[in-house]
Amino acid sequence: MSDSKLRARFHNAIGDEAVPAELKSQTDLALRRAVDARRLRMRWIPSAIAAALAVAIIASLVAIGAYRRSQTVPSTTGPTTKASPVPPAARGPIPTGTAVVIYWRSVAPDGLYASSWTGGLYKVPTLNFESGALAVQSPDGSRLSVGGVVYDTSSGALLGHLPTDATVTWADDSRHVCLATPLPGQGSPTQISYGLPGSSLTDLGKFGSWAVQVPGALVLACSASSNRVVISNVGGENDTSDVWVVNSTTGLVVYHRSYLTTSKTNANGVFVVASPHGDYLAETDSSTGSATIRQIPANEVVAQLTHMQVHGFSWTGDRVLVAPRQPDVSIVNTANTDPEVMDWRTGAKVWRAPAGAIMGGRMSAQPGGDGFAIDLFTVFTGGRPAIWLIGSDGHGRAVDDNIETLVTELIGLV
Amino acid sequence: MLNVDEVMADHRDIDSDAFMEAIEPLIPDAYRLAYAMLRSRADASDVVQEATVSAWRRRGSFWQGTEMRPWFLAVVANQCRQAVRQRWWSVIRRPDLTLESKSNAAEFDEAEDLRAALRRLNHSDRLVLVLRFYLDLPLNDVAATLRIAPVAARVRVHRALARLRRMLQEAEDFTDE
Repeated sequence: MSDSKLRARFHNAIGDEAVPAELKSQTDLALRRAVDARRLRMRWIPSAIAAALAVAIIASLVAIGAYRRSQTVPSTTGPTTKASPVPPAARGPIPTGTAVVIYWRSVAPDGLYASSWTGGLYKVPTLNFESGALAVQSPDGSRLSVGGVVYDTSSGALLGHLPTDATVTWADDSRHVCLATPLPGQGSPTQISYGLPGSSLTDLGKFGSWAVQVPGALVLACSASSNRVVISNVGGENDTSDVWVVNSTTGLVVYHRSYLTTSKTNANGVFVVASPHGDYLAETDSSTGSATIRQIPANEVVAQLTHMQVHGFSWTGDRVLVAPRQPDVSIVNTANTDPEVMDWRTGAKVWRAPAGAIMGGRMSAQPGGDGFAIDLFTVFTGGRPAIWLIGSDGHGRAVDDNIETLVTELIGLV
Repeated sequence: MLNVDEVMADHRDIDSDAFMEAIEPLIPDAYRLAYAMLRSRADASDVVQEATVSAWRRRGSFWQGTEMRPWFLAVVANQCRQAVRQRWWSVIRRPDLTLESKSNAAEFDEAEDLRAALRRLNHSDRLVLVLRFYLDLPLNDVAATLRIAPVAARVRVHRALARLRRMLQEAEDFTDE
């Protein structure tokens, strides 16, 4: 066969594929991002050298001081250093319309503070609630439910009441709520409802089965924008047996998936989280130590992350908060060290925590963006965690390094 | 139109806009190469973007006075090789469905046989054949892309073609049976 015939046959088999119109602009953007990322990385070098020098100088001074004290003066017990009750940079109340992450500096009525997504710190007005009540903030931080009462976090005004026996999950509009109310008697299901605090709620049905030490049905995502409520049934080992997606206005189940738990003597199960608008599930399998990302309700597997545990999605669903993990059937949700933020479509790591950092167990997704807020223990924070903001640009920093915990949803680690 | 040699003369200091301007005319060939190697539009688009970033990072390896097209196609080919390797993550994608409008059943079968045979070839053989018979590169450019001598490129094309013909023959024999 001649070269020209061969060429014709190749073109016929492969096709004369047209170049996508947007490819040039996408490539241009990819290059710009890479160049910007490199510039950002380069900026760290002088800071890192300065930090290393500072650490070396401080360590020398401490060593010299310790040596002198041991040689001259008998040691005395000085006053213990206590955390300041107020963060140094805290300003006044939260400006209306500013999205914030709320956190406890100390678990007390006056212990609530807030950080905007740009790092501005604010004081939440002192609220009157019972000690031990579970506080949950709305995604934008404008509202807070604690002890069956809903407050405006800017003014401290009481906005409404919710049943005290229900677990509250705020919807993505920061106005509606999803409630999970365990019905009386062990082994009973949990009633899921949806609506506005202070008005009548829509009953979405009864799901799962709870018991002492067994959570039963939980709301993984509550979305007013997509009318989806994602519900899971979770066992005593944090293992998921079922996930349902329910329409928040009709109560119809639009998606259901069951997970096999193969052994009763160990967890050997699946840990599931959902994206804020109920578009994706991330299922981390303890037997493989790997996660599958599934688009719902189409039920299409769109990515697999090997040896990664997914703890949560960003607001857009494009990024995930992950931590490396290995197969370990004894604990379903175990990976809390060295967290990272990654783009699950490309596998690109967007942010990586300082080496050895440990997650405290709560996270918040930045409304409208791809940022995360997490509580993190690092070598610099001592016994208390810091609140870390990881921006959409992948830049992470601690904005208050002496907190108790965030007032956001649990990610199952604590 | 920029002169590539001029643009790349001081390649280490080249700014990304000028680099992109030099790469832009090569994107259609890069995309066609990636598509022929991976048979997925989405993967081909990803590879072209990744290759551009990779080429930018490796711009120091570009030799002034050489052709930019084979240099960039070599980066794309390398990116394709990496894309098909099993990675620690993988996005599951189905092969793109092409709209077959072949009126002639024999022609359709022939095209399918060639696609199947190309899939069975190893990366190096597939690459050399795609460069020569799909991108229609002269042997000198095939050699420059593979960073080998033109004589060696001719030998590789010949050997890859022999393997492809053997596979096509096997397919025909199987059909005849």
